[in-house]
Amino acid sequence: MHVFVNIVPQNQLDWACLSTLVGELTSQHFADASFNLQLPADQALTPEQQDQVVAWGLTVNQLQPTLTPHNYLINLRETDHVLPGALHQWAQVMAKHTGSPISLAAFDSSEDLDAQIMAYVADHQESGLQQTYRQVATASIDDPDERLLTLWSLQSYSVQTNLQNIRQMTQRIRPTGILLPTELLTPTLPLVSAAQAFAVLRQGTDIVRLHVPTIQRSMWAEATPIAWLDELTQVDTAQLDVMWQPAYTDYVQHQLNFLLTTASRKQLSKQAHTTLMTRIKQLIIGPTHRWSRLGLLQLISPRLAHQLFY
Amino acid sequence: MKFSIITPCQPAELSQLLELRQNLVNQTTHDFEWLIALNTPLDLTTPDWQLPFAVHQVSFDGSTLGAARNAAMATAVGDWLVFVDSDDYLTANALAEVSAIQPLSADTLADLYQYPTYEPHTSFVASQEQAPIADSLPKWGGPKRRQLKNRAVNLNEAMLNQLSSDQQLAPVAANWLQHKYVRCTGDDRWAQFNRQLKITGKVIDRRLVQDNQLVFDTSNALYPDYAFLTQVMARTSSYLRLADPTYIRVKHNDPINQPSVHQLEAPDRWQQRLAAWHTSLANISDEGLHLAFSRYCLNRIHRYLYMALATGATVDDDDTSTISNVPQLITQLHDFLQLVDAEALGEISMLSRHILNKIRRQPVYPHHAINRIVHLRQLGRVIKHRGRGITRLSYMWWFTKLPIKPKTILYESFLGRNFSDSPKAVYNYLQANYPGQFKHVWISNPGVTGMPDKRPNTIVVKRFGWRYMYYLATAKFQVINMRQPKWFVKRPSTKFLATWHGTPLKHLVFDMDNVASANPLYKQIFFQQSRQWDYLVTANQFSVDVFEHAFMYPVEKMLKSGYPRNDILSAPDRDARARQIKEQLGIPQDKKIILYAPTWRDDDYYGVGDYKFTLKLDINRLRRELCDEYVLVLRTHYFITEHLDTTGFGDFVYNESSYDDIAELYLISDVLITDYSSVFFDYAILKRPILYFVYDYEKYGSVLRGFYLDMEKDLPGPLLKTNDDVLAALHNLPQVTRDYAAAYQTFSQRFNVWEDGHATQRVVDAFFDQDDLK
Repeated sequence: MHVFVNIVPQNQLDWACLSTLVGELTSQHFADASFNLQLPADQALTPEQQDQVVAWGLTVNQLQPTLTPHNYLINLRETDHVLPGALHQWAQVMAKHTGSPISLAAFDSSEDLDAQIMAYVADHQESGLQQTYRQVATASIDDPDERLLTLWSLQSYSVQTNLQNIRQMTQRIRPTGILLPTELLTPTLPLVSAAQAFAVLRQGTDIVRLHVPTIQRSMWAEATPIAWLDELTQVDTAQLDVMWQPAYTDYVQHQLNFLLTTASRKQLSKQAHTTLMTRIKQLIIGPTHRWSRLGLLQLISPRLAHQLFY
Repeated sequence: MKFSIITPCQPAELSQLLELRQNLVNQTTHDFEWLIALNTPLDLTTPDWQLPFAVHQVSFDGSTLGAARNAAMATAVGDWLVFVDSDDYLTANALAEVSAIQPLSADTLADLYQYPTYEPHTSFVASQEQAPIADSLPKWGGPKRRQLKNRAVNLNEAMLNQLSSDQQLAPVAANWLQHKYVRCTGDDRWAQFNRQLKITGKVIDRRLVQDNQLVFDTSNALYPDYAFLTQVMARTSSYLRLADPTYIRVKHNDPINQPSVHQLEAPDRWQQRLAAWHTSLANISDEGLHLAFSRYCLNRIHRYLYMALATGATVDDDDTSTISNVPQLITQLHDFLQLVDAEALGEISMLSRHILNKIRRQPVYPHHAINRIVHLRQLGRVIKHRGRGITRLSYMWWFTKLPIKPKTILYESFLGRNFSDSPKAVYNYLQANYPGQFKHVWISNPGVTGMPDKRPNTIVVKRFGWRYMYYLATAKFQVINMRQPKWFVKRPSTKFLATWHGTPLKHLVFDMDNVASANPLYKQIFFQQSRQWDYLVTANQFSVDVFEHAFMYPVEKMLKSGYPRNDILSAPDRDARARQIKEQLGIPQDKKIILYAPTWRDDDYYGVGDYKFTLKLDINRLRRELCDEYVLVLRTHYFITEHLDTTGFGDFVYNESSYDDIAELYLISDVLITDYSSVFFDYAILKRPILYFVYDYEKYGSVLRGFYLDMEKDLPGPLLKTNDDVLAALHNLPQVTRDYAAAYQTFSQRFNVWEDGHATQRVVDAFFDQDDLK
């Protein structure tokens, strides 16, 4: 069982972030993994960077995951973080549910990791597992290692079969942060895309969810809303069968609403925000609630919407 | 030796014991002995019994479970006693997981973590052979809200090496992270009390048991465990449960033929239960345990005893309490309540507390108070569901007290989905031959069209509505072709005619190994419902034989009449009626008709991604080659037809999936194409060709094993696997008819000799007394 980790830049490659991520990955000493950097056509590495990449054991644009069973691919952005022990935890679940995609819970990049871990542990202090772990542990929870161990003590997974659930669709079809079985990949679709993850989801009968976060990342809808919109629209709804088509169309409408809400909270340039509004307005189909942002956007111009919403 | 596995076994459970044997062989550790407490001789010298672990048979005095376990415990030599019943089994790593826990001290009550299921062991093993998944468990058989969803992830040593600090992780903590479990100790010692009080799957230190001479109650046949377990609990300081279930408790899905101890019909069950609680509570000296056990017992009484004692809560006027000798039970309860912790008594709800305090003071039976609490609970449930169930409650409380209406007949066909089948035939016959004699009440779902609401002396009532409940309670005659509701009360002097809805093709009720239906107690419920049928209509001797074992229904109560619904197929005016129906459907009279009626294939056989909404029959090709001579009438599951666009097929395809009466479609069609549906039994009455389009025959193999017929030998037409074969057969129907003439003859002899067009008359004459028909 092999894990192909494919790193894609969020925008222009952030070298510092990349080196941090590579450090996090290699320090896990997980033998059966290989790492690749997938650069967009308009980006290139300097000679020094190329040397460094070789020293790290990172390949560049050479990922060809063999479509053999039992292997997994995970796409990550260089701005993401991988928590200690993550690869080993993934491997435990992969071994038990080979062939099923695995969706990963995650912490948010925009907040302090330690604070999030503390909050998570506090939220689950009633859990029988954590209580038992506290009985056998000797160190205090104030110790960073102990916090991590407490996090591990809570780790669990579930096998979910409600594949068309709209509320859980984002965690199942986002282009990064999902472990995809390589035998289910569609060669004609881009490797890092919602369309690819969605195609994988549609082929299976279940998806495994790892509940305790093992990565830290930004949400696509918040970090790169326009790119997320592109991803959503690249799924060819005409090709979907009768079970998936209505579920996906509903999901996209929900995401449009979500994008409108989050985009107004995030720092987007005026131009980017107006572009986003224009795109969303074009994509609205079906009835919307009159007093929702989506409903309002149907009635007014994107420019006015920018002034109102931002 | 690490473990002694103790398995009590009854002679009837030998086959399950053999399955458990294989299961134990598959354990990842064999550091155990297996002690089988069984009084029937077992030849352990045969090669089958040469196992990688020691096996001993132990005989015991008497026949109780307690005696069996005691005898086995007395001979055990392992460090730990593990209690595994013969009908249950373990996951492969169960014993290895317990072994790996360091340290496992002697004062621990360990638990393999029970996982309840109704799926038989054999069926789960078979499914695992087809698609093995490392951590899969059988289908959940406990309460839905408690269904196990999350599975713990055990870590490995490589992970522990990633910790940044030099501080050494405590060995106990490191061991725990690799073999997770939940431990209740200190203030939480009595958490998960219900779990702690179940003996199966428990791992207990042998010396603790033997040193303290702890034994099961040999005199209590139903509840031998309480006395033993409470004493073990009193002597252990913690309860340890593995984080993942490893003990699979198989609940019995056939309580009629194969009841478990908990399902045995025992009128003195409550007496035995109270006796066991009494003995256990009297011997508990630990305060915390005394309180916890008192709480447990009071909670059981509060939840279950009142319902069992209440009268008039579920049925009309009889005292149907399932408890024998109520005064003795009350005296026993009075004595028991003297021992119960006052704090626990103070915690239960006010009404319940009043009842129990009353019994505690004096052994009197507060009959009205108990009935009141049960009625209030029923009402509370209705209020909680915002009025849903109010009609049913009225049925229970009031309608079943009203006088019976001697001239009212209630009809239901396919749970109110349409006006069809044998109830329709009986109705039409009575309307034609006994006009004005009866009031006919048809049950209909909302939105169903085609009901006979405009016909004389007939009313149509909404299923589960007020009028439905009223007539269900008061109509003297009920004519129903599926099952009546579970809560239906069969009142004295009413008559119930079960017409059923087809010759059985797939295994029914008691012939099913694994019940896949929504309710795992389907067999028991079906048994109770079918006892309420006064007559069961059968179509042929084959059905009689099948119903006898599949429904466990007495042959003398079956009507050997043929199906009333099929009279139309033998009627003298059937050609004229066929022309009329064709005209009604807009089908040209000069066109022949192919009727395509496939079965609905559910998710068991197709993955989610499989595109199952398409018809595999190539309609375009059929149209190209046959449209001059034929039209195609489709009769499929509504789910398929809803997603099927037939507009492109012009006037070749007629989608009649929602047509009420399929018999009328038989009448107009010239050839039937079907697969695994039982429609062909009826169609064969017409002696017209039948083709079986079984494109997924191989895939359907596991299902075919559950058929009463041999699809290869018993059918009156060819099995066709491709569209080419179907087309070839349709082009040359006379040849098919000739080839299958003998098979058709045999088939008709076997299944359709009673169908002479007078079945309805025979049914009516048998079901109604002459006085009723006057």
